[in-house]
Amino acid sequence: MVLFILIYGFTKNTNIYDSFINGSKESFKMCIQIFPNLLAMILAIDILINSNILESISKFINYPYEIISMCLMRPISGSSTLAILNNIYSKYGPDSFYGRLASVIQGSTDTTFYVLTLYFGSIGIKKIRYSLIAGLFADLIGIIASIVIVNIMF
Amino acid sequence: MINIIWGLFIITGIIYSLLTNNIDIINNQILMSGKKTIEMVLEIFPVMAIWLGLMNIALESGLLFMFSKLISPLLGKLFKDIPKGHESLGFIASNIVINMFGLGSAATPFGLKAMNSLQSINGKKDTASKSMITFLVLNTSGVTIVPTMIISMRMMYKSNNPTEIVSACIIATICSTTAGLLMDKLLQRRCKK
Repeated sequence: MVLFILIYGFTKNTNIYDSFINGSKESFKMCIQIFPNLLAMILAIDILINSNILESISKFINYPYEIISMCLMRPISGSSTLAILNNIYSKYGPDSFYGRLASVIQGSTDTTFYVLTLYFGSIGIKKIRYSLIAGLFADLIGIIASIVIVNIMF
Repeated sequence: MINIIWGLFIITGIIYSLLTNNIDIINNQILMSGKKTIEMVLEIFPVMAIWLGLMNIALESGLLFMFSKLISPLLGKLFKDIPKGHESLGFIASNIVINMFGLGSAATPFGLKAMNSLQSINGKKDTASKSMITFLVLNTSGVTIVPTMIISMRMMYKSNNPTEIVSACIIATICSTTAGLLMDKLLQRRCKK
């Protein structure tokens, strides 16, 4: 893809070096803009995770702790879901029911909170209207669909 | 909305840990969050700098424009209030295509660019526009077709068939994306009234 962009730029007589530098410059501005939003979100999430409240919930519904926490964490944090996915693979194996289920959940959903904070934070949107509800609804359906599909297919 | 959730997270977390007597961990965590955020930004920053640079080439050479034309009939239906041929459609298109290949972090810079250019045609600067929300929903429902990350992790754990989950992922993704978009349209209509 990199090659393709460069070659295309050449053939269209674009000043590719200057163009690259100008584009890169913007990344500074963006990083500074997203920092406070990201900080606020990470702070809140860390406090919630470390209070162990998630473990208590999973004991209550009697489903493996890892799957529950994965479903709950998925909209919030990509890196911690990957860590949980790692745990599930090493504990149950990638070809087990839970291994497959976790793979499909990971593949069909995304980090709604993270994307929302990042994208809206970068342009200074404060009134997010119904976006969170719609995003979380998509995640919920993704998780339900994953459970149904994995049960049918494997 | 985000106000309530943010507050709720912190308050429930602190109260619960007070009840279970591990408030020390929380204290530690509060101090660690800043460090974690910086690490995260440092992780995104180089990727962003490179991709934004490359994207600028793609933009100035007209590649993005060509690309967005290809899938714009579909996007045009989803994003009714973006003027035809606007640059944001190009960014949205590339964001979606990269997301389809499961390269989430590479897609982020394009997403930010797309939001930026959507903001330039947004009437109320502090309120999310309709297209922004639709774009966000598309993004958060995870339009993955080839989940690169998952396949490589399954390989790492010596799965007998690392790619067996791909078809299941695609079906689940279609479900979640459709559901998200339907919800988006539904709430959009409700908000108008």
